[in-house]
Amino acid sequence: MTGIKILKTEKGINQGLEDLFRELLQDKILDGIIIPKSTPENKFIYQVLHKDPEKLSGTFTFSPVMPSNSATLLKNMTKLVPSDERIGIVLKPCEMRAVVELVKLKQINLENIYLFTVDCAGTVDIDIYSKAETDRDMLNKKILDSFNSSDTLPEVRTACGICSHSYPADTTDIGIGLFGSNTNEVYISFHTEKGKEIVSNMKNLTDSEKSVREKAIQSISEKKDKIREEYLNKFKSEVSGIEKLTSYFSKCINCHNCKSQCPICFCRECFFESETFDYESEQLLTWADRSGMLKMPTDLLLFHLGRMNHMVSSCIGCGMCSQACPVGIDVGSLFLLTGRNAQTIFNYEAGRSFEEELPISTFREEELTELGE
Amino acid sequence: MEEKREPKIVGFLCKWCTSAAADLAGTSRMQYPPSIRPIKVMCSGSVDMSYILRALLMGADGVLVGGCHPADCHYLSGNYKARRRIAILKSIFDTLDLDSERIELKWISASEGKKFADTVKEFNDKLSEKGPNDFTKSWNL
Ligand code: SF4
Ligand code: SF4
Ligand code: SF4
Ligand code: FES
Repeated sequence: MTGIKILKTEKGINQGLEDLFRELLQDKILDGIIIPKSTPENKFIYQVLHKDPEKLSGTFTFSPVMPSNSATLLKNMTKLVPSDERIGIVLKPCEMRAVVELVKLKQINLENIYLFTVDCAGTVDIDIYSKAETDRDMLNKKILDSFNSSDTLPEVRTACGICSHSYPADTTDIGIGLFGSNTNEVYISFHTEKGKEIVSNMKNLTDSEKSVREKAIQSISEKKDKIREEYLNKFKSEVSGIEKLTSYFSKCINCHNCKSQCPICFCRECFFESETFDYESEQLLTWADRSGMLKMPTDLLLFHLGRMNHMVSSCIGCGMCSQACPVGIDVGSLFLLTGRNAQTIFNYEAGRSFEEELPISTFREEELTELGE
Repeated sequence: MEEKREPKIVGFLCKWCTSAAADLAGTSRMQYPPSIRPIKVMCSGSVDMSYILRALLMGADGVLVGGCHPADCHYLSGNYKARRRIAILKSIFDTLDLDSERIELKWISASEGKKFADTVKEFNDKLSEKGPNDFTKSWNL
């Protein structure tokens, strides 16, 4: 169930796509669209839910910054009651992968939600983007231009530099792509029945051949796969062993921002923020007695390794945790590294498919038999 | 000669099986090292991996989780789920060059007093050979 078309536009890619979305709203194909949009002072970009087609302006389908993982937005919107209006949402590929995990974790209901996944050449850290001031337009342009250059921009976040899934997968309804395209052209693909219906209602698209696009995607993902392996191997040697691991976290201020921004950590009340971890002096003094001293706050590594153990089989490597860390610890690379190895045991890859069962909510009787006997 | 150091083992033992096996080993006067501190839990599936982490981070030399044999869990699948969680925890340890052999999972039924005694003995020997757990070398955890 896939097909691909081309949108030709003389107005610039983001503008051309904005017109396309406007028509979807005007023609009542969609009742609303959630899409990245510049703040009035052009200082930052947020996801904005648009209902009025006339208000659709200043949008960035290919936004160069990702303030939070939008899967979290969908979770908040649909967890208890599904949407009764037809809403489209523009997602980066890692946001789409988080959506897959959250659907399986029963945190998102996709009824009436239409998923548009874009190609992604990477996003820059929110700090860099908000401080870019005069360079902001240049940054936007540089990211757009980098789609068809052979190298990732050095400014992008670590998670993006090593991301090898930077294009729409068949889990999405609709794909919006630039890899392999000509100037002023965007690929529009559909991957599901829902997507096919939407795309068939889009005007002014021309037919396209899959092969050019497929080749471009393949070459990018092969190249990024290699970069990722090399990076993770090197990274592993920097964090392995208790000394390196504690030194990696030595400036951690225990703020739990990494957890708050993680789309997979959906628990309303995190175990590590429960009363279990509020100690009275008697407890602390007992511990301090044992070795003569006690670091405070306590349980720093317990939080990181414990959180890792809870959710790493679903970590999709979006790097939101690193972006949220106020002291610049690259939590995401660590979770990506450990997550990838843990997922391999179950032949699982987080975000890859709606059908593959979550490792932590299922089991096989005949597996891991080296444990227990 | 240096005196052999007695390791500390924390045991999370399912009350329906391994915990009963420990009692049986005791009442049948089977010899096993006193290094284990047993904690009775409702099911191996009720052991959150952060309990294991806490024990190790606080200086335990090893953690033993004891559960019912496959197909015998009183809550049907607690033991299978525990097995997956422990596999994930061990994999994290292996990736980060921490010592995953300090985490042990064993299926020991209520009648297997001897298996319990042997398990503790073997684990105890392995741990005393290894010496103190790496986490004890750092106070900066
Ligand atoms: S742990 Fe970090 S990289 Fe993994 S899903 Fe959560 S925020 Fe994304
Ligand atoms: S660390 Fe564990 S308890 Fe806390 S939010 Fe994440 S999954 Fe939930
Ligand atoms: S966001 Fe950074 S400082 Fe805060 S708890 Fe996570 S690693 Fe520590
Ligand atoms: S009841 Fe013993 S392992 Fe579940």
